[in-house]
Amino acid sequence: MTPEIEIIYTEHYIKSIGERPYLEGLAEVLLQSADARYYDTLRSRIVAVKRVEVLGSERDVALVYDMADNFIWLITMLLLKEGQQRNRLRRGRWVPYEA
Amino acid sequence: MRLEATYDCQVDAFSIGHAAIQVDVVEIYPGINVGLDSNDILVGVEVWAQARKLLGPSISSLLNGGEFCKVILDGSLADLDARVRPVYGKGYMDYLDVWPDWTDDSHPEALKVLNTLRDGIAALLERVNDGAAAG
Repeated sequence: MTPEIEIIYTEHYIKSIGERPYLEGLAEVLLQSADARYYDTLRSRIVAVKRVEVLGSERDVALVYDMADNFIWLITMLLLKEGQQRNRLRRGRWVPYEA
Repeated sequence: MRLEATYDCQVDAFSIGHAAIQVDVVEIYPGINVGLDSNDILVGVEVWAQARKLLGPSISSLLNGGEFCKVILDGSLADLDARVRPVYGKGYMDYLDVWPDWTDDSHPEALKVLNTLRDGIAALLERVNDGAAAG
């Protein structure tokens, strides 16, 4: 039986979504069906990335979060620029993450 | 102008900015984003990891022992914008576009940016210590 995961919407995350309201509601989508998940080796956080339609065009959206035991702490979410994901992988900052 | 600064102890994250929609977000240093409005004006700075390490004593006034601290300030990010933006040329750029071979967080030019951010944020938060606002 899979333990239930509790998602914690941190104050910092809530504030970031207030500043980027076009991303509201996407965190749950990224947690459930990200195209890729990475571990940020410089900042020790998990990054889920998914290509979705935002502001009228297809963009990569990144959700930054922490995970421990049965908890997920949402931290921030932002739109990535073209090439940003590739650059971070190439420089070794992001490495594939397996939960 | 009204500025809001926050520190979330639970996830060691900091932000400072005006109430504005950020249509563009650029990571100018690993873990530090700047938020820009539709006119490409700096409206927010976000440190989404290791804020205590990256900003150091600059945010000491927000470390009040609680899980989340928020202060309202009279101030503007215009001065900070003017000091940081020239490093990137006309507009802010992703740090890996500026320093494509950078692999850690100790690039000397990037550290100048970090120090400028620290100083600018410290100057803004001094208003808290001066009693201009408290949360």
